[in-house]
Amino acid sequence: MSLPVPLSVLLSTDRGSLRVTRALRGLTFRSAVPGGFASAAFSLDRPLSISPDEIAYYATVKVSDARHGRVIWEGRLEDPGRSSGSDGQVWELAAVGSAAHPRDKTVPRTWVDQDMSRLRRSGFSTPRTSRADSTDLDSDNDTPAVDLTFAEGSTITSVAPASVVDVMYRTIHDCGQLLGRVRVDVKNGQADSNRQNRIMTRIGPNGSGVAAATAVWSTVAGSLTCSRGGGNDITSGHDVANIRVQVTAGGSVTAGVNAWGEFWGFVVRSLLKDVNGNDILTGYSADYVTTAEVVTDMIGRGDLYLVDPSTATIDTSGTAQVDELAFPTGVTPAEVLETLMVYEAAFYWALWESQPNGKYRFEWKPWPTVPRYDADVSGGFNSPGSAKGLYNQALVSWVDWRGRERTTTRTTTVAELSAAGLTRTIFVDLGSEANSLAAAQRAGDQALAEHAVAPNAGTLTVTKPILDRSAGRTIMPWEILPGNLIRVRGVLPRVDSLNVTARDGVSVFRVTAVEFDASTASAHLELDSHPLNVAQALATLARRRTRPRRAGAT
Amino acid sequence: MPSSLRFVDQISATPAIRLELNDLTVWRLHVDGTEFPPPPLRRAVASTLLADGAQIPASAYDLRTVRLVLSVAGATADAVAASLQTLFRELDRPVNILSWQQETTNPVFFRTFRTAADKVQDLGFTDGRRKLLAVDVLAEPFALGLPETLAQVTVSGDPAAATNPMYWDVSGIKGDVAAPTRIYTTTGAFLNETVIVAMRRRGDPAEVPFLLQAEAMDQGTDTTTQANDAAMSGSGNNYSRCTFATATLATRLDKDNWPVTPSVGARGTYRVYGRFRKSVSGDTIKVNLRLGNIGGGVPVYTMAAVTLPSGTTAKMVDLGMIRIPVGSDPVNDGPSGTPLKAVGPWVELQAERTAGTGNLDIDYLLFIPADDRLAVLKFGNDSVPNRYVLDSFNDLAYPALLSGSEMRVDGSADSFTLGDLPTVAPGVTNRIYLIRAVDSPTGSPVSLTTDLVLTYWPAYLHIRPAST
Repeated sequence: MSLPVPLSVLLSTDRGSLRVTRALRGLTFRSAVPGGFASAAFSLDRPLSISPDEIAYYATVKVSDARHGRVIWEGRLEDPGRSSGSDGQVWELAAVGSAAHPRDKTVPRTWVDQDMSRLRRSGFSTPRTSRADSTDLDSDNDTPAVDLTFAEGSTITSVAPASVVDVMYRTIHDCGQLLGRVRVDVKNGQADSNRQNRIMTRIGPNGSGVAAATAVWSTVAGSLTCSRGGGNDITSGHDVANIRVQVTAGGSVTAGVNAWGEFWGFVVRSLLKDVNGNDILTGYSADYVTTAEVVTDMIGRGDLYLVDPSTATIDTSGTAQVDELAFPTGVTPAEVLETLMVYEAAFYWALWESQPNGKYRFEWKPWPTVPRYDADVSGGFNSPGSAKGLYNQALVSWVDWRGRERTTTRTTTVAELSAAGLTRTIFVDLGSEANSLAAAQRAGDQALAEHAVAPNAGTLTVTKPILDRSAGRTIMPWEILPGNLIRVRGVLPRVDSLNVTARDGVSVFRVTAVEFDASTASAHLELDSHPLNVAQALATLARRRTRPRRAGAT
Repeated sequence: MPSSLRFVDQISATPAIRLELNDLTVWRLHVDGTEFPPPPLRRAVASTLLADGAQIPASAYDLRTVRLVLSVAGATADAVAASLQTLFRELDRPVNILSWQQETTNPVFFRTFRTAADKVQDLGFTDGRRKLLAVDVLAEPFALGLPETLAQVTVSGDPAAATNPMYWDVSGIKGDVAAPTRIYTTTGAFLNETVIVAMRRRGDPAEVPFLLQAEAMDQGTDTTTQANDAAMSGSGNNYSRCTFATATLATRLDKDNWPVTPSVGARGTYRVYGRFRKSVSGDTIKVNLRLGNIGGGVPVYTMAAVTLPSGTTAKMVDLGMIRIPVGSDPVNDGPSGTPLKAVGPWVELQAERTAGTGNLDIDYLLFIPADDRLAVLKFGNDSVPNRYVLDSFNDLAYPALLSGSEMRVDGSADSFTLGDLPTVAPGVTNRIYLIRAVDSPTGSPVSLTTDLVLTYWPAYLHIRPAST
């Protein structure tokens, strides 16, 4: 390849489009996973005294390959910088890629919630005769529960208005969503056919309630369940759930010491949408959501309003059972996706080029297990190497529903650490977002899986065409995409390197980012993880989300 | 006749002369010191101690510097000062055109940038009536020749047409390097269309595997050839129909070892488009390509599935990019420079109908060269212009009005371009492909024709020979 780099750059605003390829001073662009098209930088010589039509905040930038017209990078201009000096009048332009879109909106969302602290005594409860207490299950102090009690010695009645002890869950309503599933375990202090445990649902906190699930009082533990499309169907449009004990027959009686119901194992799921925004009205039998369901719902709900649903790739092979995913105070889709990657560490998300409808192509998919690219080290290879990333133990911290700091330890075997006789512990802080031991354990296991093999955190420079095995053709350095595996020749050759099908950190690496510089016509690939430099550390700190921590409950 | 050096107002056989610099009366161009060197070549060089030598990832010509040694004379010092002033005014222009004809048949034109005289010295007389000056004029890398306008061509929208089937050939290009072009339509509007213009500028373009008719492929599951339909390309049974008795993903068409004849020209990257027609608009039908080695063996490359658009007219659909030969390709035999012939792969079209009840008609697959220059043009919905212009020098595609011989910019609905517009290279047959109505909601009829006129400006590294 000894010709001009065949890339062309197009700037578009609502005032017009202009190809500025020949007027550029330099061009660099970067793509990374998770995210997709990340950033670009270039400068133009334009007078500062006027506002060029093609330079404006959020102007579309498209870098295309002149040989085949495919978009290589796409994004939007940020606030352009301007300077005037010995080089003339120059507009310094930086563009942010489609990866920035998931940070555009902040919305309250709840997909699955087990937080019983969100159950509050409601106004439906009969005054003076009812009491609702947050507690632990009487047989297990590690399990949160809510006791609904008719006060001993009080007169309770089935005559309207019947005696009720009621707690309300309205977080789904507050998030603007609808109920998909509600379930709870229950037992009572006494068996009584004149009294019932109920799940009520309604539209809004003051709407008319419908008894979606009922069971007479029993001292034997049981459960109440209702779900859209299930045997106990939730009425369409309902978004508030009430858990209650109620006197249903037998007139007026005096409550005894065992006039209570204890509820635990509370799970609420919201109604999901498909990618086209249609409500999914069946399939709510599980007490968890999958990562694919959450991603699909965000697209259908419009949280990722610039994602093209027709071209979105949402891989459903993930096995994670997410049993707590609630952000009632607001969250960006980017933060949700990052949380999902904690549960599904082998997955990533990315937004790529726009489609004819102006929306971006989206991917939620696992890292491949087969190398896509073949390259060598002739252009330059740097792997500082560090055992810093190896861990054989994980300490996961989370705050449970009572505000208690909880931890759990997970372990795995790492040959290098075992041989050295070392135990290294990685700390995973889930804040209040893991409401169960199972979720915390899974997060710990995922963290250990990611740190079982030494990541190289290295860079590879590619200056010539390389083979793209998935397409059966050679590609140029600027066409290399992150989110794929690359086999690198010339690095610690081993007989079994040709047979390696997954990342081994020796000759097969993940391509986590690619940065192309048109002035050198070379692509710099970041391998396995982002390189250890100040810029990356600052970027990581800036993106780090402060996980909410609930206050301790009494 | 003496050489001519002049600033002119345009690249034309009869330009208006802004300043004559070798009239041998006032201005004289001196041989000693005057230079018209070719433009220097900038290279990116990548080298490490991991291998001998270095890689040249890219190179590009830099601006050229024309050095003129001029003398100016006049009856009085005021006359000389006035002459110098006219020169400096021309040099001060942000852009200018310098015509140079060194006793050759035709001039070349340098597009110059703002400059100043390097130095001005008196030629031995202190009365100011003769002066010598040297000027380094910065100019674009290539000198341009007079525009060459080729005969109008009519390009068919039917890839099976006898003449100019979705492409036309341009040869005998003058110049040293690839020349910028201006292509405009004389009839045939790109109104609200997406148009693809691609090029193949090496080897024998006849070896390019451009068209693969569906009826020429082996018919697969639930797929048979159909009697002639004028809306489809080709003669006789000219398309295939899949009835989806088995609606799940299956091979509907395949062709082994295509193109049949191994050739150097078959090598390349291709952007594959298929022409499909659904019988029921709302059906959800997905198609994808698969490639493999001869005999359908491994490795098999499966391209991403594409959902066909709605509508019951035949439409062009992008199926992805492939390379021939598939997989690893050394191109040449060792260091010899002898290109190895590429064997045609096994090509397969799969399809599934995930919703609906209708059929799928398949007309053909197009293999559009995508390793040279390819532009994807989107034109707006404006019925006023009578011309659509593709201007590779100004990097623009735009609608225009042609009044007589005068082209006027319409300034109407915006169009945008991905990729690069065509340039024509000397010493080869330039095959220019034109595929219209891609992604058109109303379809891409085979009856489309487009009349085009191509003009190019030969580009020279040095000066222009008589005929080339």
